[in-house]
Amino acid sequence: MAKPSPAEKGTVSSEAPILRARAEGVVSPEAGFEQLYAAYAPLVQAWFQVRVGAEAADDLFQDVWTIFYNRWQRWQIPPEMLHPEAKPVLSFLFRTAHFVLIGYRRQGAARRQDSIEDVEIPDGQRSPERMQRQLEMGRALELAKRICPPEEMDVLLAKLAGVPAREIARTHQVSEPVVDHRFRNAIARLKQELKPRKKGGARHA
Amino acid sequence: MRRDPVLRQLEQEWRAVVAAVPRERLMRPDWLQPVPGYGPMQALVPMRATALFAALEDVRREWQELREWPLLRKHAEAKVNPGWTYKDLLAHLASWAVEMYREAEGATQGAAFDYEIHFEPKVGPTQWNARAIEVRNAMTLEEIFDEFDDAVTRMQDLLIEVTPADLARETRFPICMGPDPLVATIGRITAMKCFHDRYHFEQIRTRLAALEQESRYEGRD
Repeated sequence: MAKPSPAEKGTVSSEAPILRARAEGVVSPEAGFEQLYAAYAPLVQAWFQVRVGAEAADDLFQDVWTIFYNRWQRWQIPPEMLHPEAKPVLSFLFRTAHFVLIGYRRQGAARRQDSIEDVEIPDGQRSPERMQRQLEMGRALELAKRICPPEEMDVLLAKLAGVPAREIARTHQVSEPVVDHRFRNAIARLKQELKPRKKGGARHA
Repeated sequence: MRRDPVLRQLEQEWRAVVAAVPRERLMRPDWLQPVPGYGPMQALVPMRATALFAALEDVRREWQELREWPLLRKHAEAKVNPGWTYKDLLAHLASWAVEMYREAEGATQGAAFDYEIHFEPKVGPTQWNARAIEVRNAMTLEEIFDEFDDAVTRMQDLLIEVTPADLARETRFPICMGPDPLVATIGRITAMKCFHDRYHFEQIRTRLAALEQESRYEGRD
């Protein structure tokens, strides 16, 4: 049976041991990358599945990891990055996922049909399988996706995944209080919608 | 303190979504293997517009952070290397942002380039660089910052517009690192541009921080 992923609980407790091992030359960049991939791939996949659905998620997932792989080759690890709370890789992945999403949204609905299948890509870079998965989201997440504006949904998912508030603020180019405000707004919206209604009152399906 | 029940429910549901990602996702896929011989500059070349857009956005945001960094303005006229000031280096980055956009636009239009930029071993295109900095001598820092930002934004707009076939097409670019012009995709020149920008961003940050520390140590500040 495969070893459980550290991301199985939805967040990763600390990436510092991997970064320290890389900084001290105990692991190679390739081995460090493998460990980070195993730790964070499910989180990145889940982010995109919740945001754009399973079909588009695979392509955007590939975008994020291709960019991170290139950056990881020359990744600088100053001492402050080794703090257990720092999570610089998770922050980078979240930030990149956000930029990829901006590009995806800008491409527009018509362009989204131009899938990667139309492009001649070297064999080494082709995904072995185009996974078509249907994600079963829970009631609260499904509702959040329906009633929260995108900027609140971004903050909500980032917080659930354990991205530091400072990094969420940097990515969205807002202050940390604005990040908190968006998070609290999202929770308040959900509470309002999930509240049991009086008999005969309107209810979300 | 009791945790908010809605937040608790969200956390449980999020964990379930992550746990539902198939186990095969934890295995490094074939497309995430480096291309032999490409080196760290372009170990993996992004092929999709969304990835190229994101890589450029990362560079553009870092440029904005440099723009807001008081230390860079304070030392803009100081030497970053024997030949260039920090302002010259910014002008160098702006000139290449404009050039890369021009080349990417030409490539999507299928145009043949009627000029060549020749790189000398280890030092790059010194003549082209010197001329590009010279024409920006009279520009203010703000104009240089704007020029880079505009060029990167236009390149992002272009990438959003082009077809996947445009992105995959190999073009003969006017860049001569050896005897022949570079034949590559827009993805590859974008990856090269991002690598080049980040190399100089790191250089600016590292050297300016050291310069500032040195000034403080000598009590000149």
